[in-house]
This record gives sequence, structure tokens and C-alpha cells, in this order.
Amino acid sequence: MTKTVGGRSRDRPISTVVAADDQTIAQAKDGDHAAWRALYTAHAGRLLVWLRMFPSGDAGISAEDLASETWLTAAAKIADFRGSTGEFGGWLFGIARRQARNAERRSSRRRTSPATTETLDDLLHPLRAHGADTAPDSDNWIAWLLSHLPAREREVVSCLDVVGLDVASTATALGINASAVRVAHHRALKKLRALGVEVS
Amino acid sequence: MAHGRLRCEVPTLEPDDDLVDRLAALAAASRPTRGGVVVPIAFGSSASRAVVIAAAIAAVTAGAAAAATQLSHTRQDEPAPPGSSVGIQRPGEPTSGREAHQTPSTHRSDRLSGAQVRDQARDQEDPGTEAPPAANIPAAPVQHTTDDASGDTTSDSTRDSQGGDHDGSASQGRTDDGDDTDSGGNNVDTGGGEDGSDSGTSSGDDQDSGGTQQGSSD
Repeated sequence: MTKTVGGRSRDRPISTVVAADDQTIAQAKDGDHAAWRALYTAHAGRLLVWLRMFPSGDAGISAEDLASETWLTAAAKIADFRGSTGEFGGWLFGIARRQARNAERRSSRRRTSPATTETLDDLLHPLRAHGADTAPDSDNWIAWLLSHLPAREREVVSCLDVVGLDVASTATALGINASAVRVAHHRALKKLRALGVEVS
Repeated sequence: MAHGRLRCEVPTLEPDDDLVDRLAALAAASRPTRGGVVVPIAFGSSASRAVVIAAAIAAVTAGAAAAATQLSHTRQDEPAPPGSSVGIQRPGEPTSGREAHQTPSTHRSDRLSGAQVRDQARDQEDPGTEAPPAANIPAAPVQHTTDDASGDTTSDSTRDSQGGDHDGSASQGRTDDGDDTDSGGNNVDTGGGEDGSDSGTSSGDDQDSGGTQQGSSD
């Protein structure tokens, strides 16, 4: 059963799945070590890849640190989650997105990045500086491509195409509905084609 | 046009035991929240929630009513503008800064005795009994009272020329040691302005302000 809550906030999930937890989630709520190990193995790799797609430009914020904070927050808030193991991925990515945004805010307030005129452009556009001359299909090349997209389209493409989440999990992670995910994905691919890149 | 794949190679990560222990402990201690706000168990039922909401509404209503009552009483509590005061401005008298400062003082009029109020009312009704200008007063020998430190330098002859004006206030002015209460006596003490120069130096300015002002205005 799906309960739709519309028009509240962009960060609030539009559709909340109210379903019984599967066995792994139920065991994880009870503090079972094997369940948490299984969840970590299923989602930690792509969570780390996804976080690496959005470099903050601050050397003090690493994707590994954000991923660790995300897992700890997820464990502390697991009692609020309802759903299956697959849906846990979207919920986990939503936590990671908020963690990354908070870290970026903190970094922008306390920014003390020393820079010279030669390195200033690299700090402002870290991916544009070195991504164009990298080989296609590499992580830097993908990040360079995504840096040309607006933030929302970049997040959608990274969820759907880079780490392979489905549309529902992407909508949960980004706090938008499935239609908005499809529209943003369509626009992003169109812009990438305009850049001369055919994405498969 | 370049061709490429956006799909990254996703590694498979294995957690270490410490992290798994910590995640499991956090999950076991996790408690559901309601919209991010922890709801106490006592307020979990709908009946308890209704009672709490009703109490909150009643508290807000009572507060608003109390505030409205206070606001409506604010204007009534304001003191009325002084109808009669110590330094009553008479037509034709120049206004000095110090006199204007004294005139609206309601505290001084509140502290006037009944005899002083009657004296002032009589002064207003019968301006003929007003003391003559200080320049026309014959130079009588000045007999200072025993307590010159009070600043009331009214001579006996001067007081006699004023009739009963100083019956109740002169003694008060003489025995006073310079506080505000002898202002009534000094107010009618028109002669004090003449020789107020020496009196003003012996005591504070406030006590002789009435006499000094009248003397200077004349």
C-alpha cells in the first residue's frame, strides 16, 4: 500500500511505503550483526561511489567520512524505517545526500583554502580542470560530465546511471517523486548529448 | 561524438567487526520518532493528545484575554494632566526653563497640604492680593530667620505684607532644610527673590526655585 503525501517539502519523501519489513530489516532493527553486515555489503560500495561523484572541493571532507557518518546515522534512525532491503538503499542515499549537504555548508562557512592564481581555477572547478583529458568510462571522466549538469539532474543521473538505483529508490533518496526523476533524467541526457557525448 | 558508459564499477565492501558492532548497538538502541519529534509515551494515545491540545488552547486563550485586559486598562491608569500645580503659569509671566520643568510635576502637587492648596486657590481667585513687584518693595531691614541654611530668607515684614498666605507654609518653609516641600512657601515668597541671591548659595537650587524665579521675572 502506498500513501502519497504531496506538496509538503522537497526534502520530504513524496511517497512513503508503509509495508512490513523484510527479514533482514527486522533483524537489523533488533541489532543483529549478520543483518547489518548484509546491508553494508549490499549498499556500501555504491554509496561510496555515489558520494565520490560530488567532490566538495574541501580536502577535509572525504567520501569515506561521509559514508561512515551516513551508516551511523542510518543505524541510529533505523526504527523509523519501514520497507525492504532494496528500499533501504534509497533511504540510505537520502541520509547521505543530507550529510553531504551539511558538510558542504560547514565547509563553505569555515573555508580557509589557501590558493594561488594558478590553482584557483582548479579549486573552483576541480573536475573541469582535469576531467576532459581523461579516458572515457573512467570515474574522473564521468564526474567531469556530471559537473556540466545542474545539481538536480546531476543527482538523478548519478543515482540512475552511475550506481544503478531504480527510479523509486532514486525518488526516495532525492526527496522528489518518480515523474520528476524521469523528467530530470531526460533533460540531463539531452544536455549530455549536446556536449557531444553519447551515453549508453 | 564520444561514446561512453556512465555506469561505474561498484566495489564490494566488507565491514570490519568494530563497525558492525557499533551499527548493531545503535540500531538496538534506536527508538521510533514521530516526524522527528520524540513523543512521550504518556501522550501516545489519542485521548491524552486531545487533553493536551485542549489544555494548550485554553492556556493560549487565557493568556490572550489577560493581555487584552491589561491593554484596555493601560489608558485608564495614566495620570491625569495636572489641573493645578505648584508653578501655575499666569498670563503675562515669562516662562523660564526651570519653571516649565516644575509646572507639570504632579508629585509636588500631591504633596501639598490642604492649607497650601487653599492658599493657591485663593491666589488664583484674587490676584489683587498678589504681592507687589519686588522692585516696589521698600527696602526693609532684612531679618533672616534662624535657619538661613534652609534658603528661606523671608523677612517678617515681607511675610506680614502677604497677609495670610504664609500662615501654613511659612513655618514649614523656615523649618524645612531645603527639600521639595517648602516650594509652596517659596512660591508665594515674592520678597525672597530680591535677596535670593544670598539664599541660593546657601542651599540647594530646588528649594528656592519658586522664589527666585518670581523675583527674576519681576
